[in-house]
Amino acid sequence: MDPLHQFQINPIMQLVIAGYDVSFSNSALFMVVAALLVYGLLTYGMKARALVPGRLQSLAEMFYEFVANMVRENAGADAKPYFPFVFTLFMFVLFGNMLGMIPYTFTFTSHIIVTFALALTVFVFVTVLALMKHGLHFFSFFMPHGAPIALAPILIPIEVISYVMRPVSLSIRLFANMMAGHTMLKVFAGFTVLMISGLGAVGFLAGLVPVAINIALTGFEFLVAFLQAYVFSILTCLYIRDALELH
Amino acid sequence: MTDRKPPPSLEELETRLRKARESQEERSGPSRFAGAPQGPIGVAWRIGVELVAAMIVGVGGGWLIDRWLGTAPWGLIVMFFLGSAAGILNVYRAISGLGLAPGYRRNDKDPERPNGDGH
Repeated sequence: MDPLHQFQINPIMQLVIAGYDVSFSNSALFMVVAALLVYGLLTYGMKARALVPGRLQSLAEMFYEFVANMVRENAGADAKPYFPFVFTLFMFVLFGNMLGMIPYTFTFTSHIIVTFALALTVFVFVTVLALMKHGLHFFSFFMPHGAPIALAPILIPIEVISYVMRPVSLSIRLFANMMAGHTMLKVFAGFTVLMISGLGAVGFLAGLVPVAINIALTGFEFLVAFLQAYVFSILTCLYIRDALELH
Repeated sequence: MTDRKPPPSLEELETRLRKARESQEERSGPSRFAGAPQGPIGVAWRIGVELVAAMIVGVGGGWLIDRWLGTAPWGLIVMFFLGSAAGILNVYRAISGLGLAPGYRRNDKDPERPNGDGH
């Protein structure tokens, strides 16, 4: 009945290395499943290499083209070398979100530590990229054009904070959406159980209402699952663009 | 098999290619920030997340500075205001279409940015 119970991490294989608990958990299991599914889809789907693609091949090609367009449109033509990075992120997050929609699975993207690790990877990658491309000129990023020098002591910390904020807002957006959606589904499902146990025969009828809402919510959750993977990777594209086009 | 259509001429291919490219350019033009959810709920989410993240970074950072330098409570107080300012700034930037990213500059001062149609 506890709507948050579904987010509990359970170790599948206990493992402690040098005092750290690195057990293989259900969260890790579904990360592996997601990675294997992406790998399987892309390798098995593209195996035929048909001119007229089959179902799996056209799915794989659709993903590829979708992300390639996204990178070109949002990160610019110079961002082509970073396409694999964005593609990997998108597929991993998308499959994580979609796997979570299957009953009895675990949604690893509903844990902030997972999304924060992903966002931090993006953040470090983009910062290193900007430093490599522009050297120390990168730090001019934190002083807006044409602002009076006297304001620098206030403006620079604000800009630094809004830069450091990026991984935080990126990870909160993904994790909060996934967790809120899954909790909502569970809460509505819980209403039905309460109604049936509380109201008896009337409860069976009244209990249909939350079920109906849940059907609509499930559809909505599929949309959110896709949209959040999309938003996550599109923001990565914008950050890459920022790193490349620093002046 | 002799009634097969003759292969398209080079000019024909050329025009078709150009058309395809144009439609692609079209698509890449105005949809730059189509990535963010456009509906009111999406906008609300974005604002909320920006503000919360700014407070986390500001207050969390202030608290860490205090712990590190032993300046309590001044780091927390100063960073609270700076974090709030950064949050509002990011919301303003996101809403006024300067981009989802902090640190974006105004497009009109940016001749090198190709589609600087700051909408």
